[in-house]
Amino acid sequence: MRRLEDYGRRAVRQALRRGTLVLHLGPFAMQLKADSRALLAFLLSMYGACHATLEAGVLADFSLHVRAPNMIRRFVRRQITPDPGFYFPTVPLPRPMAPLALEMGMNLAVALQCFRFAIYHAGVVADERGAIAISAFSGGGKSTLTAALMEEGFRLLSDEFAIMGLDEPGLYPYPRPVSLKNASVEIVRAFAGAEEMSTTLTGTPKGDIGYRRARPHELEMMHEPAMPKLLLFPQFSLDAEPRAEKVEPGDAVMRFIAGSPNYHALGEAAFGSLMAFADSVAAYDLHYGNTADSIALVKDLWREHGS
Amino acid sequence: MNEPNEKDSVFLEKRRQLLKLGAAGVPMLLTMKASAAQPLHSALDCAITIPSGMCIMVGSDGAAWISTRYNYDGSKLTNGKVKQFKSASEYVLPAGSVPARYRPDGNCPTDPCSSSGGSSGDDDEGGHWGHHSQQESGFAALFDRLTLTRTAQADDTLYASDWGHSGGEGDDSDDGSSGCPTSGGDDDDNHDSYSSNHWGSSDDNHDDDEGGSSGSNDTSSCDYKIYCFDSSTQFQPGTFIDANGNWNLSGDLGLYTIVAAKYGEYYGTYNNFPGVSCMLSIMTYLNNQ
Amino acid sequence: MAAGPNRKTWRWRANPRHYRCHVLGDVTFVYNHLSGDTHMLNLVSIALLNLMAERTFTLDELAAAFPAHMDVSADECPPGVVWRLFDELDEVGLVERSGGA
Repeated sequence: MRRLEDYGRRAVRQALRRGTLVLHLGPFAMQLKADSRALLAFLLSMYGACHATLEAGVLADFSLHVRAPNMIRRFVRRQITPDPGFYFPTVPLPRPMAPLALEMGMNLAVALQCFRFAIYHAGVVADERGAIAISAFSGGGKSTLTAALMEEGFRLLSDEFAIMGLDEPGLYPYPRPVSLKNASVEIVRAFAGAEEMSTTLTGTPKGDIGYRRARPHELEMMHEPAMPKLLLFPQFSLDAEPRAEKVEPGDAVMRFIAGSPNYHALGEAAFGSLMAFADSVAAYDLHYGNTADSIALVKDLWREHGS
Repeated sequence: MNEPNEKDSVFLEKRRQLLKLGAAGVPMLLTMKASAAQPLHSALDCAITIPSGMCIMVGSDGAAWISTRYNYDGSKLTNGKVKQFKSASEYVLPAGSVPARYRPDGNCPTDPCSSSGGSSGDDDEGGHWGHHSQQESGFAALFDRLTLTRTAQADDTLYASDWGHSGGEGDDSDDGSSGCPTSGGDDDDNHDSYSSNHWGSSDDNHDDDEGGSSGSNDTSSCDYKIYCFDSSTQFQPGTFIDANGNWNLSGDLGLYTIVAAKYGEYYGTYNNFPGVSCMLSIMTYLNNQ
Repeated sequence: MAAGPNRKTWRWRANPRHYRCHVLGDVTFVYNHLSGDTHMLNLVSIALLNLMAERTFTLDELAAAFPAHMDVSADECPPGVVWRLFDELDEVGLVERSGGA
């Protein structure tokens, strides 16, 4: 299958307008439709190495239309909103923020329409020994830690979802760009390199937002699941002393499942895989005040549990 | 994970401690209600059904006791009734949980202490609940990118800044000039066997027989106020949210909204408090707008 | 919260075919096949569920039997606590009425 960047820009733009562009990423095929230069540029930059098809009639798991919320907003104070094909109370965005609408819509589609896997909100990285799932509250440092671990020999499975098999706890890759906010944008830019980063979206109510691109080898391995070994709950707070505290497995499961949009719908199969997951991981709270400390903590834990 | 060794003394002690918590009304079973059980896209539309006969007793310190088993007749509140209510309560929230405007006013006039009896509507101030630093739940954070515009909502959620603290919205504690009994039941009667046996852990059984000069064994209590819902009531908490994403809570339903949210804060969605899933889905939504 | 009418003569049980347990440390996760819900039970509530899986009980019998099953005195485990625990299991459908009076 060809990569998105192998098609000409014009062909990609036309397919995007027609709604026949399909990204084939990990276990999902995502059909996209949009008419936005900002979104087109973002797609080619951040998803250029992804497998894609442009012709009509390709079977897709999800369909996402990034469009104006109504006719007026196509022309006056132009806005944009993700339409994953079902009602969701989203807030329209200024049109230049179409990349954000795209990422948000892709999240919504997977979170609320996927029933082949159990979905949990977590970043996941892996090496040959197994996977580390990183579950955090917003602002806890999940994405920063995920991006930092990518520089430490781990491959990105996902910044957003732990995609778990049914009846087995393997975690499946969905290597989309890592979403970073505010200070994290520059932190990650510093160690990943500016060429790996998207243009920063500024002026959003949550500050600046930037994306770190998934790397070619991560896309090449996007069909290779990894067995979970470690479940981390990072809690970044400025100047915090670094420490790792073990989390009781029952508590870890309760916290982890709170981040699932589809566990309840999947029934016993999800229960089985979640319990197997809980048996296979050691869970820790990580407290730290900077990225270097977080990396050191994870390395220590990985020496202990990554075998 | 290994099965616990049932002969282990540590194991037995753990069970004893849990039994004590059970006697205090702490849930012994939590149900995982993942988001799909209450589809996220209907977060703002969800409704809460308050069971018939549910009463909420609010203490002057902002603690709350919630019961569906106590038949409150709307009459003068006495220390004995307070004690019975506590014994019959199914859910308990600690001091500071309920905002000042729902607490008893602390004054204890010569006439019987007031109790709302279920339709107080005592609040029309449309309290804007300020800010808080509560972290978003796991699934909440999933939609971080749903963040633009309406910034206030990212920070303004149901949790008032003074929740869990006694400070904040004013202090309704007794000032010593009210002439109110400051604490403590002076009753040693009115315990039906069901209440006392079933629920156990009343914490105010001082049992002094000399309290008060009324000549009664059961003096008025001014430190508590009861709100009751006589019949099954359904409402949508989302209607309390204004266009800016702020909560404007008032009346008895506002109190119920607060209590449900507070219970959710303590126990997450894994408890059986009526309406907690709805509240959490709304807060999750607001956290991410 | 009481889950419904309950007569003293009714007998109750837990049917292990209707649920699946998984122990994680001090807690047990229980998947209820009938409701599709997952529950987390602590050492006390799983003990009650296990006891009720052994045979049928009236609520009075249950209150009498549970303290010994827990290896604690009756004072530590009064009937009211047992009944409340039972209510919690009943509420989520982990126990069921068994036969007639």
